[in-house]
Amino acid sequence: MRTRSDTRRVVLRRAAQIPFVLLVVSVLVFWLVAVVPGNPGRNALSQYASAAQVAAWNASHGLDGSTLHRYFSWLGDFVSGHWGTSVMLDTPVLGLVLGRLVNSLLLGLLAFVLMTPIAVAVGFYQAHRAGRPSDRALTIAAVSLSSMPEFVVGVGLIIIFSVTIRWFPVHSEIVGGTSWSERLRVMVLPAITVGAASAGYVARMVRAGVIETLASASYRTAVLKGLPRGRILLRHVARNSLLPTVAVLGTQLAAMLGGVVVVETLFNYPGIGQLILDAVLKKDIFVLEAATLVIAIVSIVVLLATDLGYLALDPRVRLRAEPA
Amino acid sequence: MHARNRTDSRFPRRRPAVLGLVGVTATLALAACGSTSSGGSNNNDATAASATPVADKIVKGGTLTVSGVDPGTAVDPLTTASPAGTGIVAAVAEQLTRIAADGSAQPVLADKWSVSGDGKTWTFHVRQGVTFQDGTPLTPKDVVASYDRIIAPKSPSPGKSSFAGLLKDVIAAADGESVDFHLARPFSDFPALTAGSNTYILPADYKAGSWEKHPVGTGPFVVKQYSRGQSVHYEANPSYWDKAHLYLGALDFKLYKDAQARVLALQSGEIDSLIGEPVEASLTAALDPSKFEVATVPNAGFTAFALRADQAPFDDVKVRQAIAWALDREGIVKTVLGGAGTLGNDTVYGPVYQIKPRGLAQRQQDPAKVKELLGGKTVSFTITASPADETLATVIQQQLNQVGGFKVKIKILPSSEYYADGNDAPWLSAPATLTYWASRPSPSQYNNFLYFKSSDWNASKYSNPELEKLSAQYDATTDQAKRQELVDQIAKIEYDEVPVIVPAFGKSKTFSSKKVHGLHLLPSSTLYTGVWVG
Repeated sequence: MRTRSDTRRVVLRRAAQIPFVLLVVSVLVFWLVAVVPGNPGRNALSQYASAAQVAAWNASHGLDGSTLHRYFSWLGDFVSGHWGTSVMLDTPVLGLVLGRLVNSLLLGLLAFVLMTPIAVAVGFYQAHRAGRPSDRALTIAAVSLSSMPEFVVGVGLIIIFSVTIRWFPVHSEIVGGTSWSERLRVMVLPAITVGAASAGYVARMVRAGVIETLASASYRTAVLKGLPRGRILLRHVARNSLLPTVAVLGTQLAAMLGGVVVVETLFNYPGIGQLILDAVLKKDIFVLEAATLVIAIVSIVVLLATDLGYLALDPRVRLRAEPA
Repeated sequence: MHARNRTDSRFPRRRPAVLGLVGVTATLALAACGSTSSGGSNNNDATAASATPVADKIVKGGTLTVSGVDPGTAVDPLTTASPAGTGIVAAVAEQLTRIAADGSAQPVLADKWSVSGDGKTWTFHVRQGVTFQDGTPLTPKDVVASYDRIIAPKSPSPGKSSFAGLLKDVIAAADGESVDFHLARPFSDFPALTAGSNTYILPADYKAGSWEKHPVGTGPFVVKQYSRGQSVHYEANPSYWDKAHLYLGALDFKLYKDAQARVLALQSGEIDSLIGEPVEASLTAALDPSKFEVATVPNAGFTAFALRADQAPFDDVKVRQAIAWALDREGIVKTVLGGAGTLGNDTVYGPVYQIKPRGLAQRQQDPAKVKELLGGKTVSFTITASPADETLATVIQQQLNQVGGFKVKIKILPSSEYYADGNDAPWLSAPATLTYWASRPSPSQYNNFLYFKSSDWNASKYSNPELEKLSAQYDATTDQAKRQELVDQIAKIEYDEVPVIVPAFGKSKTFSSKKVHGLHLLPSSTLYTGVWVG
């Protein structure tokens, strides 16, 4: 049987890994930016600027000198909390990245909150009606949703909800004085777009899990024991069949929180995915490093939470290598 | 069982992410049949959209909402090179002149100008009674400082290239109201250059890089809220020098990450007009023209198809001519520009310039001529381009391969690779390249950049002292008849020698809501005076 100290050890061991993961990520990002072609000064000043102008611009933004030297000077600054200034946006990186991260977390959570209950309910319903026309129709819908690119879903939603009935804006504009209710309003369409693809996927996972449980001996025993139907569904079916779903939800949540570039681009939602893409395209190294590391931390935390949730649901699972 | 499930779930589902966006956008563009070639356009194009309103019907105090694609960089008048960055600046800051629909320079902050007998000193009289938004009056000192900032040895401004080797210095004139521009050589189109990139007149004590925090200029609007990457909210400048014609009470400039979103925003009523940054024809094709005011204006910008005239196979002028005669230019206008364009004739003299070359037959696809010029041989080459010109590259490839005598491949490089630094960058060194050249106020600029031996941007490595001599004569002449003759001669050389093929000139199509009135749109800027919403 597992003990509380087992769990604590797992968490501590994961936490101890974080600095190493971050170090590796930071080196990879720096190295990639160094080897990928492209020049920040050229991006900023267009092809019409002369080579001398571009070189001067790079020097004035601290982008000259050897990669190794720049990496270690950046690393020292970063660790001591000086995250530098975005070379493209001329803004302190710390506030920029954290602000964008909060926006992405809010969008991801809203998408997750909107998507999960619906997907789980649909999956349960389907499993219950497995093989019937309603199940088949919902399977087709779920597969379509999860295979449709976000861009298509988003444009479709815009055409219905922005162009035709004009309930929600195309532009998820969030500026200084945007109120919380207005924020929520501009987040609805992007959140549905982000959640839609996952919803289809999760519904299918739930369906498969529930069907498996319904076919199990424990379910038959429970039914034959004459337990009330509601209790069977909650205590036996749900608990057993949601195990795979929780793991899926975890990875989905991590992906959503990491920002969904396509959706952020379509709605110009100021999230971190868009920031990372821009930083990659424009080789804005300090922004890229900070945003990647922050996302790495979020992913690690979410995945750890998922594993702990798994642990809580299934007493048989251990988070270190199973003894043979 | 469970352990396996857990392991499976560790693999995150593949998301379409960035590639998905690009792919889908490309698919949508293709589905709409056509795309644009003008990826790097630096100008706003438009034309008169609606009939002149009756004066007593004008509604004052309305808000106009326009849009652009987020440049993703800090905006500064001195360095901005993106269409949206320019649009954001141009609502607040002004230049000495602007280019009118007929290609001529019109007075803005300079109300008149004259040139010395030797053509080397231009004197611009600064409009009196103009103040910056902070209340300080505009003086010749500000004009001098603004130009010094651009042409300074350490200037980061891309606009510097327009004045390199031409503008020696800028000095306040003795009358206290004028500014003298001293040139290294005569340049008759000089007033047009003062409407070029980055030439906004800012206060003498302006500090480069401070514009977003303290947006300043003499223009019609004052920035009330600047949200980078999201939107800019402006209100009418109460002390604007031309406020008699400024009917708008406010201006909203919304930024999108994607041109498709701009079109959807127009359809949803979120924005009023697509004026400003041009939108690809493939995207606006979905709009119902009966629901909008549609306007078009020709654009001086074009995609140059440059052939390395210094090396085989293009060192043979007949091969270059054969390619020029093998292109179906109407097909290019139709497919690549969505019908919004005019045929190019392998000269830089586009439809916006006042003087147009005479005596050159319009080139059309002529397979017999191609066969004769090639003399039975087959020419193999690769066209290198950036993604912005991928459609054009594909269409040219198909046309040439179909006519026969050519074996053409294409190579599309990411913009950052195509426009890499140094003279061996692909856009300057590959055997055949497609590069978009944004609108320039004077055709002489194109001649200088594309055909002069000394130019860094001469991608065809062409050299012709005769053309350079004629171009210098054109620059030194103010007599219109003489200029026409010189244009005829320069264009004939460009047409016969074809180091650069100019297949087409784009037109910008602009869609606006019907509640927008009085738009009078210009080839390279947006005019807010005269516009009202109601």
